Amino acid sequence: MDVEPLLLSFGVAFVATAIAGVLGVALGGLLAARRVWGREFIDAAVTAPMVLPPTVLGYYLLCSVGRASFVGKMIETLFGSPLVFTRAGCVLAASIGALPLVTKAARAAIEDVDLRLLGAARTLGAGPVRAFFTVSLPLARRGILAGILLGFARALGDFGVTLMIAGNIPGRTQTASLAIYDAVLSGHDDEATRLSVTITALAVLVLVLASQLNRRRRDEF
Amino acid sequence: MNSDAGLEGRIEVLRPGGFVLELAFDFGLGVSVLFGPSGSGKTTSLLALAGLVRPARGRITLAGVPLFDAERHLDVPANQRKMALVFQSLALFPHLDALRNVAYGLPRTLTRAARREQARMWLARMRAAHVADRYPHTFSGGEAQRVALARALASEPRALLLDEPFSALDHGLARELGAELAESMALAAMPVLLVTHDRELARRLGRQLTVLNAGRVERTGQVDDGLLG
Repeated sequence: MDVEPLLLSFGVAFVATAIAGVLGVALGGLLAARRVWGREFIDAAVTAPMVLPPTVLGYYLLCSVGRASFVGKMIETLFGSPLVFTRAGCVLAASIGALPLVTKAARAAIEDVDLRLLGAARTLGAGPVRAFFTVSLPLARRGILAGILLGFARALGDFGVTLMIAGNIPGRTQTASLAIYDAVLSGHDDEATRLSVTITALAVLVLVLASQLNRRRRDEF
Repeated sequence: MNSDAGLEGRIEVLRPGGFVLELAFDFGLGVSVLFGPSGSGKTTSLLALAGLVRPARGRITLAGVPLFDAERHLDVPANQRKMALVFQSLALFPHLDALRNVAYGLPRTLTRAARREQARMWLARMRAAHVADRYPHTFSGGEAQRVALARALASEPRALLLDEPFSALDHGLARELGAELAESMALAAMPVLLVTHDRELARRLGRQLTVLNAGRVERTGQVDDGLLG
């Protein structure tokens, strides 16, 4: 089995999960705060990747960060290489897929924290930021971790958006899902099976971990 | 009354569901009791005074310092009002042990060691030193009350707001804690607003009494005026 696509998938998924984790928790915290203007609009925009066809999403990304776009040109000047059709593109595609899962889970978990605990923190002298980091985050950590694990699983499996903005370049941007597609197309069914089974086993493992974290400990009174 | 040291003002609070609270108040030093049936606006009063719920109209002054004034668009945030609020549920932080719960409200300018030292002192003062290293889910009702009061007092508030602080306790324990509290509050010499519907507790702790009903002040006066019926 060619492990290179698998390793790339994992590397990309780790970096993408880190990005989506930080961004998603920040967004989830912002959306859980009730005084944020237009928060349902922000929520919808973050969630859109879950419901849009990957081709549409990929097309938007090509338009906004592609080599011809303003952002794309800035990136190329700053880093000396474009974002699209590179591994950075793989990471971007995977992050976009993971972000809504992390954000949704973080928002729900943070909104679930007893408002009176936050009220107590406020009257004890904590500003909103300190209350967020010392009360909301620690108490929401299980839900957030579960969201991050789901985000990781999603990042690991991205296909459409990666294909659109990172291409399918063997040894460079060919992740496991793309390698499986190639293997099937070229009749290498054994290779496709091996990669598929490996990915499936890992995804199931992540889901089991996520549900472990999400389950409330019932023996705790 | 002692309005230069007290908590004084007049607020109108609108809550979701159409509930309206109108409260004019002048709580002096010592314990003032807020009395009334459930749903009469007692908790809403405390939340508004603490800065956790914003009144639609009115003003709030503590020790001569304006904390809220709708007309002047003044709204001092809850974390700068120096009013400690003890919720009916106590709202102890479940992820922190008793010591860190109490230390939470101590000034950030103190060193970590100094904060722990002071927190220990407050726990001892409230006779809860033995639970310092334990987490709230292991507390008995009385221990939880003591830690919550220690946490509130440790933050060196200029006013103390207590929402049914003994509702979870059996009668004997409530009286014992009430007596202790009366002592420590005399020391603190600040306006203390006590929400309760326990007549006995109101009589024993309170000086001034405000009776709320359906969001309005029904009666107000001294506790021994026979207002409690």
